[in-house]
Amino acid sequence: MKLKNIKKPKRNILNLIWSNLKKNMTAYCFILPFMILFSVFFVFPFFYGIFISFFKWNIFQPEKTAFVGLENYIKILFQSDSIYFDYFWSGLKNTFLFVLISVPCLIGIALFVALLLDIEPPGYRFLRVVFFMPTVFSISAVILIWQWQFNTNGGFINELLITLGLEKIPWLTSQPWAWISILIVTIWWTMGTNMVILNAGLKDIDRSLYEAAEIDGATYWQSLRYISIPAISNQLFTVTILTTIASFNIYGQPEMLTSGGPVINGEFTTTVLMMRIRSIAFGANAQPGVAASMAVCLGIIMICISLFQAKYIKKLG
Amino acid sequence: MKKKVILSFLMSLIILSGCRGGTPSTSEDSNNTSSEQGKVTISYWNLLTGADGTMMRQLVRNFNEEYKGVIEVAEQSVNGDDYYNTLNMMIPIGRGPDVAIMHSYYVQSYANRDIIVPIDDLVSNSDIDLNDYVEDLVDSLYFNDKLYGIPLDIHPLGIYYNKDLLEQFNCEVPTSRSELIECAKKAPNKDGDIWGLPISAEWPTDYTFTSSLYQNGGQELIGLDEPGYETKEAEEALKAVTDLIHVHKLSPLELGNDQDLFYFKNNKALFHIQGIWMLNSIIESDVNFGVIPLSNMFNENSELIAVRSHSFVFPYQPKVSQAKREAALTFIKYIGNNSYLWATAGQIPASKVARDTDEYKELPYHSGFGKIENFRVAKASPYYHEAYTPIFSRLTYAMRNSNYDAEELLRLAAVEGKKLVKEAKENIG
Repeated sequence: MKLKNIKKPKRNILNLIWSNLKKNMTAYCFILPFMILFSVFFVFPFFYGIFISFFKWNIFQPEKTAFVGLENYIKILFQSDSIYFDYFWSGLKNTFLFVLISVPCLIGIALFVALLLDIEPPGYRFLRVVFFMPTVFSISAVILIWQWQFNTNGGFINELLITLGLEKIPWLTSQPWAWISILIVTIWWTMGTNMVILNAGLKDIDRSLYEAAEIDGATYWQSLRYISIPAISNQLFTVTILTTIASFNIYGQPEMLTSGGPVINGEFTTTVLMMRIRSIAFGANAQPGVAASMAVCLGIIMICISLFQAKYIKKLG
Repeated sequence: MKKKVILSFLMSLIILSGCRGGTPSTSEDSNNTSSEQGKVTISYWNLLTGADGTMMRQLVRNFNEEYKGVIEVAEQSVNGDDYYNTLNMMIPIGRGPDVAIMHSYYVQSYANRDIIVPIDDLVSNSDIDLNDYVEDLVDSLYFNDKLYGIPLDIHPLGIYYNKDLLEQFNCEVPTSRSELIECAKKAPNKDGDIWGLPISAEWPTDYTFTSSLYQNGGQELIGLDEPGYETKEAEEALKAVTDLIHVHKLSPLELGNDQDLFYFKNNKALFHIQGIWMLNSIIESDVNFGVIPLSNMFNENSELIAVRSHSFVFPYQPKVSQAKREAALTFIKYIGNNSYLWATAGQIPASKVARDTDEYKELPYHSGFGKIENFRVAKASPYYHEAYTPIFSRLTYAMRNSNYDAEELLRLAAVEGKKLVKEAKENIG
């Protein structure tokens, strides 16, 4: 009697799953290719990366691979005589610096442009395309374009400065100009996506709200503060999280524009953590275990910051 | 409903099958030992692109034509950094090529990790005579007294000079540092005008500095694993390079990668320090030029020049086919003997046989890069890269900042070098 009681719900669950599967077979078949690719290229590498981070991984002589527990993490986080400690903290510091300067600009400027387009000035549709266009370019094309603008000798901007009787600026080879150059390129290249999302949010706002506010004597800033911003809070939330994650993952711009330099006091001032991770994971002296532990730490930091942002933005209402 | 399910399932399969990737066909073909009627197919990987790549493809075609039905070389070229990553990934799982090209300064590191195999026995049983190759190059390919490679070429830097501008500024072709500086100083050396010797602070500064280091009595490493540049000689070497920019003011500051080349190609520079691999590109620019060696240019008393080299190596393979190895040696010997053709792509052949051909001797610029006996390859060490490369970023800094502290820069580079060597040793175990 007891056995029957235990077995019965199990059979029911299996039946339920089977009938559900049968009912939605078409849908499952359609998502199957995506799920397989998603698992192969995302889920599996994600867990495999975490797995590797606990090993002294030797890609050249696999038999020498050994489980080391948290040793890679201790090395990069606390062991100050290790080169990987230096690489991790300097890379993380540079990444943080970029996130701090880029996220407010990428959201603020995108919001500003979205608000301007929302007024629907003549030719706003064309302007929207112009602002969005750089996002379709590849990073290599973007860097090629900007390298010729920023080059100290013969670069367009410096030639312009000389024509105006001003001093040349070593854009890519001195600080803070190297960061400013990377920031300008990033804003020009990626701002379009944020602008389109925010602009779509602004378009959804009922115009009668603005009219009512105007009748009540609200200024433009008051309408912006109490109508527009709260109305697009969902879009702002998405844009903030996505931009922060993208900024943490910065790689192409400093790699190709400044090669991680300039070097000041022995420190590569624009070498971000992703560049360090890549150089440690590959190459003649590859140490995938150390690289994976750095990537896991960066991932944890990104998750924590995103959760904090989500909570904070929710709190703001 | 049933039809719909079957249809969608089939579509899924079609989409998935469309996503199938794979190794390039050449490597697949070549990994299967092909011996149709005694023909041996060998796979050959390299990182040669541009003019180098075109010429190598031509050489492979010529070889395949000459050995038709006996040996076939299936070549695969992978670009830059990806090349070594591909080797790193494929060789340990037994899917590497039969023969590969490798920069000679990597050979020791790869030998230390058993990624490439020793070839003493193979070479001694073949008709390859190591005396045909530059001795210094061959010596650098020994690791633990075993030979791991056969050199293909040498690529040195030289000083390209603009003949028309030298005439315009009333200069003789310099033969020493003092003459070079004296001549370069005759140029206006100011923005928007002609410069004496524009130098990029990024590339190929490592070659330039290493030549200066050798000429000033320094060395890259002490022993096999100790950074060797925390010395007075290295400070002198650094000064000899940076003085050209900061003291003699022969170059604009802050030149990026290849900007110095841009000046030279546009008749805006009297002199230009550049690799032999850019020879064809400079010929195409229509500049009326000549080449002089780097000898005596960083120290009047030394003719040494730092050079690098490509070598043929045999990657590890789980199943070794003697026929393939022998076929590979035949191929290497053929390329060596015919490498006067390779020289036209902008290289100096490592093989004496090729250098002794009339075709090579008739090449107008190659002899300008210096005497073979003055060429020095990177110190043979499995930790060369770890111990020496930290110097390069400091060199860039020094070339950009006139107030650099040489002792401190070299000390910081050595600290980083020592840490990298320590980690590499721990990793290898």
